[in-house]
Amino acid sequence: MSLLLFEPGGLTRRVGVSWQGARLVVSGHEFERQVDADRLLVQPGGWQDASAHLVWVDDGGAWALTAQGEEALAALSAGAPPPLDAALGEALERARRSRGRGRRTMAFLGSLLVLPLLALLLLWLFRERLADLVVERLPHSVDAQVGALVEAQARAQGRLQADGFALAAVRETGLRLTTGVTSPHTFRFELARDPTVNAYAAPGGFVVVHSGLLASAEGHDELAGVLAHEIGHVTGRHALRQMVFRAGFASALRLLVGSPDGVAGLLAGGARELTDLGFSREQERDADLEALGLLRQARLPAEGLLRFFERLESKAGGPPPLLSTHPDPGNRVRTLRDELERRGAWAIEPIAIDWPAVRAEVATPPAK
Amino acid sequence: MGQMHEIDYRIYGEDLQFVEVELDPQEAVVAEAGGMMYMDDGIQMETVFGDGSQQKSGFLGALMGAGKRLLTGESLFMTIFMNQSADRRRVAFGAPYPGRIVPAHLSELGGELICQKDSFLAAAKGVSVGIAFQKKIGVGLFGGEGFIMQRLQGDGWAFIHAGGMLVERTLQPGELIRVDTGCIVAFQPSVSYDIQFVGGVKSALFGGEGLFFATLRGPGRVWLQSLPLSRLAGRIMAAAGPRGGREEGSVLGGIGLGAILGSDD
Repeated sequence: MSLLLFEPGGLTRRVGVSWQGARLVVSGHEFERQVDADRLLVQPGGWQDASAHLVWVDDGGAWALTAQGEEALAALSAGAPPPLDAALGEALERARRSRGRGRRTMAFLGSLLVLPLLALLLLWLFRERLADLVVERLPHSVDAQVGALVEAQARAQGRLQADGFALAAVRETGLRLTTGVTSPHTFRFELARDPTVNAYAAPGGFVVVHSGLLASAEGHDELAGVLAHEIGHVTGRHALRQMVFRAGFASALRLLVGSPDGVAGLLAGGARELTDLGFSREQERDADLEALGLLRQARLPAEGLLRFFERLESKAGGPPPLLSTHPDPGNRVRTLRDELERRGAWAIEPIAIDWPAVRAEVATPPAK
Repeated sequence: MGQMHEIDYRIYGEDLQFVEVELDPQEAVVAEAGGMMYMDDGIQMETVFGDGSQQKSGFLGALMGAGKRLLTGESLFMTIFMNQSADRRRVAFGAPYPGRIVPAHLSELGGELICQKDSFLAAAKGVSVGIAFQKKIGVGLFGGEGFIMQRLQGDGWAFIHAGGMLVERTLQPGELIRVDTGCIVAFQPSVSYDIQFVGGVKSALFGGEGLFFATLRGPGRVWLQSLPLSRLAGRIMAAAGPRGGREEGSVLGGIGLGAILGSDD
């Protein structure tokens, strides 16, 4: 319990108090002073409003008796004469309220800490929907611009074929698949000299097949299947979505840790590589389904797509690049087969392609 | 005075001060870890978890004390310097940046003092260093001292340190002073600490004092600093920053635009 007496000279002493009728008796170590209650004035205040001061003027200066804390206030108000007891009771009430305010402030500070985390959590939970929303709002000219960049890069590498049976086969198949499709994209089909079993599609319709894929394909229908799948990625704007995702992730991370430097930069880089791995499982499934639709419309068989994935999957020595960036292929083939059964067979109108000639050409690539 | 240790001290220096404390046999002081400057032979140093004021509070108590110290931005540990010899011995503690060391005898102040966090330098053993939590959101946000302040409790000498020149004022009951935010170092808990809008859009935007003053209302003693460390650091950053500060002897220094538009320094 703390009762302090502030004397006009600046001296502070610890005192005890008692009420003798209408007089306040303040006593301390070798000290005693009495004041008439009608000269006293109650002033609330102190750190956190936990105190009240009894103020009076005496000997030409202002004196103050401070009761600090609820206990001291209760002791001071006990036995106080009428006008003062009410005021002191009020001060006691203020001190009690100040305790509740502490909880409110804690809650406020806590929410300051928690709200950004909550916002990030919401962002994370709705990240798919948000990415879709952003991509929907991007004009198709963005696809074209990104695609042009990728195309320029591919051309600069100088591995794109200029002519040949194989390129003709790729282009003809692509043309068949995209004819009659209303799409804002301008499709270009190219063949790259590259022994890896891979094919990729840039936004805007730039589709490249590696010669290694043709070499490993066992028929034209497999090429048609893979091309249809890649076209599915383009029409679904999957690459663009991944880019939006990555940009969003980087900026969210920057928001969270403040700066892209140092540890944060490393983290962002690592996370980026993770997302760089390629399309999501959902996007692959979408592209597969889209491919089925395209093949049906183009009157081309769908078995090639299934066979191609199945064979690559069962091959020893790890998955080829096309599958390593395409997660969980086993499940996919099964899903595709179910979907194919559900849709039923369609009429086939094969493309006249000299497949043995194509195989021969990609098997002995022209010297560099 | 019982368990409090009565110590003698002397403060040396002008702007970069240190305090030398003279300890009788078996007397001790506690200090921030890292604050010691020199000590005589015979003084034993012991690092404790928490502030060393409660000797037998157990592990949990020590953990609580240490956790609170983390909140105030202090190190988890404090160091106790005890004179184990049979003679009087001395130990000194240096201030961490330009400013003044103020001795405060807590028993003369009613046993308690609220300080700016980080301002505690050293104290007689038995003084406890705790947290004073600012419950008023407005004052915590705009008062310049944040939500966490330090509470020194006990009866012995405590040494607090702050930037620039320190001034002590005794406020009469009801007397109010307005202080630039950040300039408050310490005050007795009988003092009301609040904020006040500077008043007027012009003053708020261009007055250079920010949107709010801190107000202190008596009765009680308050200590104010002329140069908060953050302000000093801000000036140094501005002068040494990437834009290149003005150099004393630079060719354009005397006549350049910078000198014409430059402020008071």
